[in-house]
Formats: sequence, structure tokens, C-alpha cells
Amino acid sequence: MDCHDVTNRFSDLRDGHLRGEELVELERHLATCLACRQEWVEFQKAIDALRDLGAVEPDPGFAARVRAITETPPWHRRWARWLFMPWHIKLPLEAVALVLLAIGAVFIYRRTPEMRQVVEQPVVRQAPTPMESDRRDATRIKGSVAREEQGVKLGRPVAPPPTRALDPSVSQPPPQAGADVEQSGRLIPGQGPSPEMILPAAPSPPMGRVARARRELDDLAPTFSRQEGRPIERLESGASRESPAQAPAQPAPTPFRIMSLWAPDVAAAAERVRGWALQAGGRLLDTPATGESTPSGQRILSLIIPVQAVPRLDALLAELGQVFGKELAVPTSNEVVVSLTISPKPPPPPPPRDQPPRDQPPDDQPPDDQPPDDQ
Amino acid sequence: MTEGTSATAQTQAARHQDADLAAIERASAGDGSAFEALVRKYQSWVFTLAHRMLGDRAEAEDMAQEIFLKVYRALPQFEGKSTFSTWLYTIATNHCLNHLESRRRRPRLQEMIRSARTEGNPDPVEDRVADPAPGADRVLEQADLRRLIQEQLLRLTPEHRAILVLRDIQGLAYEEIGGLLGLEPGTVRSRLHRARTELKERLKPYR
Repeated sequence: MDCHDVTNRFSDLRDGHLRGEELVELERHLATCLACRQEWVEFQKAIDALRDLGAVEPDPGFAARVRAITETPPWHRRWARWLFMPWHIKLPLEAVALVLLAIGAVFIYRRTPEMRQVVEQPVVRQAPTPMESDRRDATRIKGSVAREEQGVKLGRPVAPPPTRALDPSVSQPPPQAGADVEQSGRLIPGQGPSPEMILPAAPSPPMGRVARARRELDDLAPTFSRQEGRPIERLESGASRESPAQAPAQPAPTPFRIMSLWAPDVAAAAERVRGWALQAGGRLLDTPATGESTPSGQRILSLIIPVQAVPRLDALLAELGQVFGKELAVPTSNEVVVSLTISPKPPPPPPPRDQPPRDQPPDDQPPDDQPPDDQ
Repeated sequence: MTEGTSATAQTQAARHQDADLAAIERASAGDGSAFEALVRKYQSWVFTLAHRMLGDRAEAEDMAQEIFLKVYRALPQFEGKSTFSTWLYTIATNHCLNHLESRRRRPRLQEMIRSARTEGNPDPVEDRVADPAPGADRVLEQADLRRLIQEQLLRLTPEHRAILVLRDIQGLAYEEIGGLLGLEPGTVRSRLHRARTELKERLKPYR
């Protein structure tokens, strides 16, 4: 056994794993070899020093701290407990969160004009409400006077709406002599009603329902005229163009009729209409222009009559002269506002020889479909 | 006489095992005081292992807490095939080795400071107690000697450090060490010898 063999067995010698001849031989070598004996001493000292390090005690209270940690559930259990907390706690929290979320959404919506524009644009483009349509048309009536004077033909003859057909009991009398009823129903440029006749200015107090409606129309008219730049070439019933399904749920305004009458005797016609309106259960609006004669000899009457009396008014006006009109109607109402302008009857132009008389249009061509510029 | 001593030791071990099993059962049922008693019983062993393996008291305490927390969560999986102490020592030793391995892969700030201090300036204890000049005869104070041993221990590989701590500080038998580290007894024997020899060589300049 040489020095290398001896030093390789130091660990076994230290732990007492050597027995018999091997142990005797190693001890004999150590007794004779100074270098190995010195190595063995160093080896022993190193292990003794290591062993003398001994145990180390933690700080007092270590076990209690460990216990406290073990009794604290881990984060995933705390989250799970929070997620699956009882309904009576979780439901109010979720409700509050939902309300806060909704408030936040409304706040963002109201603070973001682009979102409002995106939401509101299709409604304006696709389905104008009857009220909006009426306002738009009324605005254009006012704004198109200049165009009217420039030759833009407006209107069509008053055709009673289907729901307001003439009462069968009231037979339409034939046109009387001098009462030139033009069945083609076109306004002659330059002879139509003035804008003041069509939409009188807002009346002075007391401001009734109709006056408020008119003022509202006047206030909103510029807005709608800016949004829609589409020219109006014909006046027609707003109700006939609207789909009832697209009409919003708004309080129904009173139907509004704008009518013009050419009569030979303006004063007599005005008196007759006035008397008829009172007799029919209607009333006259207290406006400055009501019943007064304009410099051009016109008289403007603003009436409110029951809906049921509309066919009889139509019959009366047809009896009195040549009538034009437009109805901005919403069908669900009990009353109708009529703005009637009675103008002196113009001299009838001489009919051409090769055309039928004007009061007898050809049956195969309805007057509504004839373009105004064709004449 | 030897047989009588061995029988007494076995009886004591069995008594310890029964007490541990009862405490484990109560701790698994949510009895915090039972687990606290287990911690108090083994805290010295675990803390010593952690302290000698890491070399820092605060870090060792955190490590010991983690070990006991791990043991507490694994209590339902303890089947009693080995003694509770063996099970606990295995968890503790592997936890320390894993921690050192992860620290080796990702050097921590503390380790970087320590290495920078070692490279730029010799170890404070070495600087005070070791005289590189041959023939220097310095008498080490006991505290300095302990600190020197700990520092030299930390310079060993974690495997050598672990086997030295388990054998020469904790006093485990070769078979127990082999069980904790998953080594054959022959491997334990050779590795232990290499670790002791390396430590001896490291301490030789200070004798």
C-alpha cells in the first residue's frame, strides 16, 4: 500500500469503514510515512472544523410564522374564492360594475361626435319621419319663392287623399260659370301664392297649438334645409310618401293644408269660407293676415276645421273657384289647419284650337305625371 | 450492549415516527398547532441545512419557510412509506439544490456583488486570517475559523457541499444520504471522499 492508496482511504478510515488487514496495513504506513501522517492530520482537522460548525437555530417565532403562512391560502385559492363568492355578495358588485360600464359607454358616446354621427346618419338618410318631411317641405315652400318666381312650377291640384275622399253624400257640383276649375292643377309662374300666404309669420300671442307648431317649423327649417339639398319640384302629401312603419312614435301634429283658390269674387269667397268654417265646427286663427285683403287683392284665411269636414271644404272650394293645395298631413288627428289664400281669378288664356279645353284633360294622361316644363 | 443500544434507537425512532404520523394527520385535518409542532421539531435541521448550503442567514430563513410550506402542501401526499424525517430531508435537500442550480443559471445581484468583491479584493476573512506568505503562523479566532470554513464550503460545488453538510454536520449515514440524493452507497462514499479532500486542500493555507 503506497501513499496514494493510503490517502484515498482517509474518508473510510475517518468513518470507521476499514476492517482487518486493510486497517492494519494503513496504520502501519501512517506510522512510518511523515507526509501521509501530516495529510491525515489535516484531513481530520478539516472535518472536525466542519463538524464544529454545528446546527444553526432560526430566529425565535419561526415556527409561528410558518404556521401563519400555511394558514394564509395561496393566491390562486384567494382568487378562486373571490370568483366563486356567494351570489348575495357577487351580484350587487356585478350590478354596480354593469351600471358603471353603461355610464361610461354613454359618456364616451356623448363625448365622441363621430360615434353619434355614425349612429344617426342612416336614420336621416333612409327614413325621414313625417314630421321631418313636413318641416322640410314647408321650409322649401318658403325658400323656393324665388325659384317659383323664376319659373319653377310648384304644386299639383288638390287631390283628396284616399282616406279623405269626398263624402258620397256631398256630390261635387259641376263647375259654375266663371269658376274656372283647372283640373290640370298647375300653378302658373308668377301668379301663385306669395310666400307670406303659404306660411304666414308666427302669430302674436295668444300662441295656440298651431302657432307653436309653426314656430317650431320655422325654427327647425334651416337645419333641415342644410341637411337636405334636394330641390322640391312638386308638392305632395307628406303622409303619402312616408312609410307608417318608419314613422317614429311622436305626438301627432295637426295636419296642415296650404291651399290657394282663384275665385272671381275674392271677398264673397272669403266670406263664404269663413261662414262655412264656423258652421262646420271650425274656427278662424287669430292672425294679423286673417281675412284682410293684401295689396294684390288676396285674402288669407287660416282655419282649423275637423278632419271630417275636409271633403266638404274641398267641395266648397271647388265650387268657389280653381283650387290648388298641399297637405302636410299626419293621419292621426282630429283637426286640420288650413291656410287658404284666395286670389282674384286671372283671365283665362284662349285655348288652342287643336287642343281640348283645359277643364277636360285627356283621360289617358293624368295631370300628375305630366312634367311641369312640358307646357 | 451494542444490540441493546440499537434496539433502543429503533424504539425511539418508532416512537418518533408514531408521533410524527399523528401530527401529520392532525395537520392535514387543518390543525395549525400540530403542524407548528412539526416545524418546531425539525426547524433546526432544515435551517442548518439551508444556512450551510446558502451561507446567508436571512436567505436561509426564507428558504426554510419555503421548504416547510412545500411540506405542508404535500402533506396529503405523504403515504408513510418512509419516515417523515427522511421525507422532509429529501424535500429540503432537493429544494436547496434546485435553488442553487437556478441561482447558478441566473446570477442574483447578491451573488454578483459577492463575486465582484472576491475578484477585486480577497475575501475579508481570508484577508484577515490568511497569510499567503509561507511560514506565517496565525492563530485563528474561533469565530473567524467558523466563518472561514463556511466560506470555503460555499466554494465547493453544491453536490460536494450537500454531501459534506449531510454527513459531517447533520450526521446522516451513507444509506440515508444515498436515499436523499438518489445515489448508490459507493457513489456516496467516493463523492464524500472527494469533497472532504477538496475542503482539506482549501483550508491548508490557513493552518
